[in-house]
Amino acid sequence: MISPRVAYASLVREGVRVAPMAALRRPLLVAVVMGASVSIAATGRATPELVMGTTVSWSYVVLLQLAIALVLIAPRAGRTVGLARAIDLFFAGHAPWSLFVLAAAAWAPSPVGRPLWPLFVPAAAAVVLTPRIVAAFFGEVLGLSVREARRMTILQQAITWTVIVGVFWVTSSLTPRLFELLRIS
Amino acid sequence: MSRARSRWLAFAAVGAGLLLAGVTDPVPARVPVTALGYTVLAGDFHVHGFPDGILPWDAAREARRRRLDVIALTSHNSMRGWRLWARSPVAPPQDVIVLPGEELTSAGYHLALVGVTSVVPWRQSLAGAAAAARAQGGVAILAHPSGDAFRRSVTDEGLRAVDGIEVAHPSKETSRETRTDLLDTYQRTKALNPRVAAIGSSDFHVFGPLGLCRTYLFVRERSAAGVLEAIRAGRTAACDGRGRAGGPPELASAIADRCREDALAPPAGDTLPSRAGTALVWAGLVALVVFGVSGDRRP
Repeated sequence: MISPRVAYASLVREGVRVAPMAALRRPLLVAVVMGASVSIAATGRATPELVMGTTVSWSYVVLLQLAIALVLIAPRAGRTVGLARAIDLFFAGHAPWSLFVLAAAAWAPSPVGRPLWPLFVPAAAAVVLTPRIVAAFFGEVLGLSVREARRMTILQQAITWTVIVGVFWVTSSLTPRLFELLRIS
Repeated sequence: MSRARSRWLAFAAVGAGLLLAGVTDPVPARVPVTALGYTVLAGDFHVHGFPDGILPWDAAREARRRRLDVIALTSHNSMRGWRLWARSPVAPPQDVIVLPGEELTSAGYHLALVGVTSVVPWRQSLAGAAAAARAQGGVAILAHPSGDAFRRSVTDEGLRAVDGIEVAHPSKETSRETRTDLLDTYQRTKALNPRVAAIGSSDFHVFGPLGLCRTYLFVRERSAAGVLEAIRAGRTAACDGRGRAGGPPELASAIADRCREDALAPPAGDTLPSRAGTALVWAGLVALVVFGVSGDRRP
């Protein structure tokens, strides 16, 4: 997380090939982290039944990330480490957001009146660290130039945030809130 | 300790934690409570299911664990939660009444519409939306009435039209301004419509707990119709997360002890192994994120 370029360069040098199924281990971990964290945040517990249900239902978040990654990675991965390994290494960079989600789970079943603002710290860390990690991935794993890697990172982040805002827009009905903000209703 | 050993310990912690977390005591059946000649039910009428939270059948189970008799599934401007509930693949708990609903999220006000059968559009006045909900056989509860936009847009006509006011809401605990707004709105509405119901709701999304703020209803019958009738008649008292009861003095004092007990009691069915198991799952996942699920270094 601190020096992603060095870490990715060394991972690529190892020349490990992974089977397609093995490429799903890290996305699966992210899905389980989401499922367990939502379970703990919402109920304060992580029973197998609850974690299974929330992992399956919230896996749409991981599937969206996987779809975005596939669109951007697939055309170039074949010429370098192979698609399976590229997906595997891409999700290795998910740690800042995974740790944020786990921090939120630990903080959420809070006593009455505990504020949520302390969660802005790990969230801000994830927002800052992730583009660096993604740029390192594009540069070291897919062999793009610094300029190209930066361009792809901006594209990846733009698509990801657009999708996140889009999902939030639908599920939380942001249109009336926007009207309220603009006082045009 | 090597990374490989740490990783296997982390996997073992998650597995063992899940097993332990499942070691719970059965949640005891709800004992009927009566007061002032009515059956008293505990309800939460502002519950968001997936995709704003957990699956609705898990929310119903959680309601049972939190000593609630009735919940309403209120997705933002939709009935997604209720539609999902209607297709539940698992047997729902028999002793929790689950009501259809919607959180009508409009510009300037939010309404928890309970007992409605279809989505009420948000582009209308507070009075219009409340009337539309009532035309469907539902009730309209003004949700977390606070903030500049609400104060700017609310009218006496709108307040007269609602069946209930959220006077206890989790946001009340973190903001003095919200606390004042909720109480002022309730008092103002009470002056316009003495039968307006005092409602406590948790506005449950992902961050729990469900039923943190709750409503006690004095019902004639333990059914969906009985619950809606009690709200329309204003036979409710609100209970906040610190165990303080509010609403009509006679009703609030009748449930004051229960409100305090429910607010302070731990969830039913939890055991020491289940709590330890949950902590183990969390710690194991943190370790897996830090050490990785493979032998690779982390970028």
